[in-house]
Amino acid sequence: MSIEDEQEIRERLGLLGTVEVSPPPYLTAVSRGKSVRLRRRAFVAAGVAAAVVLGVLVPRLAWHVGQAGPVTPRYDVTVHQPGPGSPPGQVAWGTINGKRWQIRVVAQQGLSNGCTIIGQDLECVPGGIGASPRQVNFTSAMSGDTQFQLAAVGTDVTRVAVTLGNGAELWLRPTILDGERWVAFAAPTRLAVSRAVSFGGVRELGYAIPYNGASGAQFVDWLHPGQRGAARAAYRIGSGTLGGASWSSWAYAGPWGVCVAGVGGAGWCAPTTAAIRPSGVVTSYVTCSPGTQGVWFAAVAQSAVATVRFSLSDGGSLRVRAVGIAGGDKAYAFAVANGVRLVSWTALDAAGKQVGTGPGWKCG
Amino acid sequence: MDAAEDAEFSDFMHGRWAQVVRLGYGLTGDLQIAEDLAQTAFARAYASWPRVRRAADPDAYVRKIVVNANLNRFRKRRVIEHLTGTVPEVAQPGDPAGRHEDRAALMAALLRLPYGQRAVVVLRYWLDMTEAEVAAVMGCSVGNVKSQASRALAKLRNSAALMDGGAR
Repeated sequence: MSIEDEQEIRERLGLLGTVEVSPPPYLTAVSRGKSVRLRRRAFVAAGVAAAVVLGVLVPRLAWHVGQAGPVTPRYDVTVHQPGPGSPPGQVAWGTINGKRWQIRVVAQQGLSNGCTIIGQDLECVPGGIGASPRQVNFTSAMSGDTQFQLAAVGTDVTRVAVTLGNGAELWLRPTILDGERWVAFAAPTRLAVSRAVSFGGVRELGYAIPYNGASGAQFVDWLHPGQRGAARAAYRIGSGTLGGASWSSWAYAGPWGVCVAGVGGAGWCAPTTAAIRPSGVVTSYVTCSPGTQGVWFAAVAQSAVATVRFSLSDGGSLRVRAVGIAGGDKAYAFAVANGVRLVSWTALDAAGKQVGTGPGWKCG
Repeated sequence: MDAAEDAEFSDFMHGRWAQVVRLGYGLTGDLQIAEDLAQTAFARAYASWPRVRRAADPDAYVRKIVVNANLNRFRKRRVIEHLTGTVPEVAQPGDPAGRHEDRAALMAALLRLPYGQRAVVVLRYWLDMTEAEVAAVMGCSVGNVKSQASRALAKLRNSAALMDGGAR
């Protein structure tokens, strides 16, 4: 008997279903899975520790990550639009040093938004991501050495030019899926993204200079053509020791807005600190990160606030200095050991006069 | 992971284990290696279970690991496949359909295909995946899947192993 057609090979391959298989080694797989997870966490922890050390010893060096970046000619990045036969929902595909990636927008049952990374493939359920006619609204994800960038673009936007730190320029044209317009690209995490410019036909609509942090580029604020962005500056907004390990948090201001890094494993970006602080609120936290030793908080405060005193559940108190950053508002970061709760906060001005008070915060 | 996620993973693994092992067997012709590959795939799936369970197709995730882990096995250990007319599987008594001989012939023919073609054949024609799904698992284009499938079928049509071993 020989194989004459596809149906025949299907029938012959049915023999694979007759292979007798031993019962699944569930406990072994779980044990190996836990080991894999531990190794990944150790790798991430080592990366965070290295970042903290770099941030403490050579803050200016860390700061330079936000700059346009040195020439890194070893990265060869390409991006293409989907073609005939492309998988459904594909926004873009390309290669990084010959290794193929793709970014898709998909609908997943039971998931309203979020992204899933499988190998070099990013699948996103966009949820409420949208864009006004002239807007480019990026969201990012990182897997290992690769950063994935997906953006909803408005109806006026016909292309987006992205310049990478090695001088390479990627031209992104919108892919229309179910009436929504998308652009996407992927790049090595270690390769800074210098800028993105949006065009409507031949007319420039706006540009953005992203913050390049440990998890890749963050497009926060878009500027009008010719508009000068804020000057770059770095501020140490908190430092200390927790569980015997020292830590420090930094705020980086620049044309992207403000980004805070080193808050445990968390970070945060906004066009301005005031943009995230509810109107009239003296101080509020913007991100927090629970760890094995304790919980880190980063917060913003009105410009009048000089220090914030926290009453703790163990009877003690914590006094934190608010650091003025670009734009007039202030920011600060602190950590509390596990098991200790923030009972209340009291904000004080430079003269020690109470500016405001409120209940303590809980992470998550 | 909490108890509910553990239970969910347990159901997933028990439900898919046999098929994933058989996929590994189709790719390698060796049941022991197939079980190793399957175990690796499920261990990695467990390590990323909160993310995998949210994926549109968790099965695709596991299959992709099996296909790639086998490829990595070649790259890392410089495994050399010995092409033989028979596979180390002995016909058992009480096998009225001559199933083992047929299977041995099938595997001999599959093992003569280059790895990419073999993977396409098994994924496309045994697991009945679409060309796009196969392309996604293998990390190549749909056109590449089509050409690999076409070449593989052409070779299988002229396979002496299938003609001889599969004659009933």
